[in-house]
Amino acid sequence: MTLMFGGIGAQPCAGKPNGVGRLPSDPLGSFTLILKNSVRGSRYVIERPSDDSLATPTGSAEGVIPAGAGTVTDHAVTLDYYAPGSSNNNLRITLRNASGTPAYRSFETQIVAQAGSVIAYCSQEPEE
Amino acid sequence: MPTVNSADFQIATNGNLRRAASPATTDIYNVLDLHAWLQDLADNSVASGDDNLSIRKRNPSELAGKRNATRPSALTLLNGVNIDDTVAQFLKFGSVEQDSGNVLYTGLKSIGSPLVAASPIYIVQGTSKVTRWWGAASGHIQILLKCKTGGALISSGDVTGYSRKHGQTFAHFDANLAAGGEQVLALSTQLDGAITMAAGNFAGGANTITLTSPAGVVTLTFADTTQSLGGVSKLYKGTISWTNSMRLSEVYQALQWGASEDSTATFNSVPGWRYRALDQARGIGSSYVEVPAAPFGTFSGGKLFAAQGWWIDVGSLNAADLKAYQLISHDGTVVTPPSSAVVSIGNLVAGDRVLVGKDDGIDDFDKATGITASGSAAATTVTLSGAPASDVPTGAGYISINENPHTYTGISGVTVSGLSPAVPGGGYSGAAVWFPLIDTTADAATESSGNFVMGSGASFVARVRVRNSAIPIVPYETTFDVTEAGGGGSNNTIRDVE
Repeated sequence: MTLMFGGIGAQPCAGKPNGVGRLPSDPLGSFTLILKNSVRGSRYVIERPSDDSLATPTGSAEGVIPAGAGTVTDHAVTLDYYAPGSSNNNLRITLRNASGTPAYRSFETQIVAQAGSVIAYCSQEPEE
Repeated sequence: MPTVNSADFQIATNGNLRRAASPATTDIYNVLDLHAWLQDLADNSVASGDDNLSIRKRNPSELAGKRNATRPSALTLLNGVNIDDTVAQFLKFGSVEQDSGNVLYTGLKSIGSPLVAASPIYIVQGTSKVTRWWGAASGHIQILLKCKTGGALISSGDVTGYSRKHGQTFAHFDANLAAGGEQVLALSTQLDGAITMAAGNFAGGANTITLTSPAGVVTLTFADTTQSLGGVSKLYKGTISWTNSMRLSEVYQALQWGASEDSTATFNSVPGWRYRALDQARGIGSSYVEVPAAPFGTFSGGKLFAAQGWWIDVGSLNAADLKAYQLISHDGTVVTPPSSAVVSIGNLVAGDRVLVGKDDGIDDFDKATGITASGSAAATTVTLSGAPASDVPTGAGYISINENPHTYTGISGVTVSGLSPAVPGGGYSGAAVWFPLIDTTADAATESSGNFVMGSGASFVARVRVRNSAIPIVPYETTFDVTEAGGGGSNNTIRDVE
């Protein structure tokens, strides 16, 4: 729903310009999720365990840790966070790298989204 | 990298991992290969084709320990992923657990040398043969076998692997699959030179094996019997007997066939193909020593070494086999037959009256047995006042009662049966008895006594008397020694025409 306030001196609404109102289900903003110590070449996906849907924005919620120097790296992903208490802030991170050599066991962890940045330390165990 | 051909299997959205409708190969994969393939699929961003796995699905499998292609892999299927018995037939070298541990397929591998090429191996789980999918001429096997379902072990996880092909020595080995991984069956077979008859020569029945050539029937009786052999009285738990005086070499072949994979015989209701020992067949749990190579006993050097608990019916023995066997009584005592003998008189003509018996040392027969017989008129059975001496034939033989000659078909204890002619009118009551070795009118050139047992080192002097009123000859009478050496003595009548 969009509320339009006409006239001079319209006030911002919930930080939104031009009187655009935020729905309770809308994110409050973006935060940086750092997948610390993630193995390069691993595929990752960030989902909501409540319904197995992708975190938002969905385009950022899955991808591959890029190649580069070294075996591991700290990979940053920008995602939405929601009002405190929202189940959308509960996120499950899955990293998989079982097709290459060496193969790694599947790694899962969970974080709670919040403003600023959240670090998820990834301990991917080699399987060989 | 996994080597599983993706076209061989398919994974439904509910986790059912099954053989594809049209598999590309019939390859058998290591359990590790299956895990690597599942993990590779689970790395995909989205599912594709008929393999419904991706990073968006939960982890499908977990390995106990590191990936190591040199050792069996213990794999756990997770999050609803499961295989069925058909898929398990295409896996080896490890175990697969699923359904939160309620279902377990364990690896089973046979080893052992020597093993005759293409030796068939079959597995018994509980009391049933596992339907074989690995080929009847497989040689050594490496398979996965379900040992747990619905949270309960099948037969406590116990299985037995057998290789029992007629013409080869046999083998069997017990294993328990409950621990998962890969368990071992130690099996070894060789060609059995003592087997000369084809399997088609035998037919099985309940406690019997029938031979076509030579014609005969081997019968196994599952009952206690106390028997004396060589002066050693022991308890046995079963008796092997047979017809037609077959040789022990032939009886052995029949018994081996009876315990072979293709046997149709049952032994005390136990199928021959899983018969192992007499105590197990009778359910008496006496821990008999098994003879995997030949469950009823081995045959070597012309001698049958019977398995524990079996008594060999002496009356069934061919004269040439009287000493060609060894027994093990119920209590584990090795018992060997004493010397046995058969006395034969030759150069006879039909009508000769032949009488052979122990010599009394004063030119007559030793008739002083101290035994009497009683029996009703027309009866074919008489009761003795005491057991006869051990050197009286217990199979067919001759008995003189009140100087009346009779033949009999058997003596058991103090009972003489199969009397011919039957007890005459008036019956016998305390009638004097002695046991000629031969007491007959010849109808052939040679007449022989029944098999009788000689005590070790024993010998005696026998007297023979031959007369013929129709073809007058000087009555032939002489004595000869009967010893344990060589199985008895023989004598040829000297015919001097009167």
